[in-house]
Amino acid sequence: MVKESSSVLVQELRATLGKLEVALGAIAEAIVWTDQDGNVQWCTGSFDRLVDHSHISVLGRPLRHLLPLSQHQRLVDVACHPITLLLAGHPTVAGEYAFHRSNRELALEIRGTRIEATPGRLSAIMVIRDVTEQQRAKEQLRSAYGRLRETQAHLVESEKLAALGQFGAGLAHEVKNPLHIISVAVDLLIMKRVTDPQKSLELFTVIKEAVGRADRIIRSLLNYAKPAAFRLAPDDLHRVIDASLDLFRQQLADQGVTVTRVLEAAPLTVRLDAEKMQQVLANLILNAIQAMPRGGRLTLRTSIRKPSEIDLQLGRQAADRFLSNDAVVVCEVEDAGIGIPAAVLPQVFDPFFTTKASTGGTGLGLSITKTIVEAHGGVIGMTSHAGKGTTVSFALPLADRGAGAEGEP
Amino acid sequence: MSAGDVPAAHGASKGTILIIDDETGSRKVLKLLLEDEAYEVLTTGDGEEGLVLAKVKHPHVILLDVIMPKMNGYEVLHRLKSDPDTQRIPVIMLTARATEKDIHASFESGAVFHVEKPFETKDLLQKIKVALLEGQAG
Repeated sequence: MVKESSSVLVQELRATLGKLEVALGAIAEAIVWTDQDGNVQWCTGSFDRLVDHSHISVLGRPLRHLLPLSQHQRLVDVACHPITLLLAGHPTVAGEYAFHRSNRELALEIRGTRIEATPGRLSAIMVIRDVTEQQRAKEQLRSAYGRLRETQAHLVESEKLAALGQFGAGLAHEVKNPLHIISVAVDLLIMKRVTDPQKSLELFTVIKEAVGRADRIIRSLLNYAKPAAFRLAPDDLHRVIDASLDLFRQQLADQGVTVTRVLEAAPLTVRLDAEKMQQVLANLILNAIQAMPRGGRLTLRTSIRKPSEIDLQLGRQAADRFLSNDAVVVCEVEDAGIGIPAAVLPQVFDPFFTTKASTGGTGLGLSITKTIVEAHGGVIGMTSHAGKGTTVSFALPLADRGAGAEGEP
Repeated sequence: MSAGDVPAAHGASKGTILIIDDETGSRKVLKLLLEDEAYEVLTTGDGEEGLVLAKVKHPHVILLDVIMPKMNGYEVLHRLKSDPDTQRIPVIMLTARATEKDIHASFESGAVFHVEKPFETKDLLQKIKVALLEGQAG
């Protein structure tokens, strides 16, 4: 009776173990169990396939021989093999290794646990996952991402070049005018032999001013074209606004665009990267000019506000970005152009979104602008009314009064 | 009228020239140059004021800048040519822009010369002489 039931139990047990073995063999991870010397006692079928041996030839053999591993292109020393580490006292191991099998390098993720089922009798279980395909995919993704970044950088550059072309005509005017002044003044000094010291001094002063102006124009152009990392320093936003307007003097005059500056009376000190902030303003001014092909009014406004005093779309963003007691500098660039349809307003800051594809717009201008404003800890938004015009507003944190005295204890 | 409109100290004036240019530096050097050449010089940086000066002072030649903030040079030229009081005054356009379209626009509107900045001083003086003769002939 007892014998019969135990044989039934053994049968059931065998059947269960069989099912278990099938189930374990079906999972992708290879599982191997060794004795205290690191010899294989039991393993799943996927382990046999991994090391490319028959099941029988695997059993009883040292795991280190069956599974020689490398890391960083170098064979892992026997003393550092995960199985050695486990049996030497590490309760667990985990790592990524390379394993060479018939001219093919596999990437393996190995986890192991030390087991002491009976006191004094150690054994170890390792779970091995083949992550070769995963790594290859990751590598491909990484290189694709690298190429994407490169392409993006190229696009950013070409967007800059497009803008450069736009104010190329303006640049010619801005530089040729001081050249003309210098040319006449020098002629007067050389050919006419101006002898009156007062007049000579006056001419030299005029020359000096003209050189300064040409230098300023060229400098701002170079700054615009130069890709550079962000370097924030306390600076007056009004100065940057005026320098940006300078770049478009001719184009504004040409197109009959009148500029109105409604600026806070005092300088607005913001921690900014002057070159990048000029790029922001140049982009916004250029967009405004392009929105008014038959002229109109371009208004630049600045003010200091609390986040709760900022309106519309920008206000919601500002509430998230700033603390309620922060002093925030708000700058608005408003045109009297045709306006932007409400339906596309939410997309205007998206990369590659453009309403000017036919005239060579890349759709990156506002996206770059947004990136730069956000890198300054700011927010940017746009409101527009069909037939009335568009306002782009951005908000930046006002620099602390002591911002210039950093590094104090 | 500003201090800049005081006639030249040199002997007899060869004629009166009105300079309309928004660039202070440009007005200053042109005034010194032309006064040195014994012209009487009037200057303004504003197109509107230039139109008034032209009507009141009847200069012999006008040097007119194109790019100016309030009223650009072409608009000034157009108004000068539409007013019987000023339409006979020879106008020389001075500008830093030089597309063919611009030069064409200058002549279409009745300018006698289109001089590109920067220019050869002698060249400008020569053109002023020719313009003066043209004004007398007209």
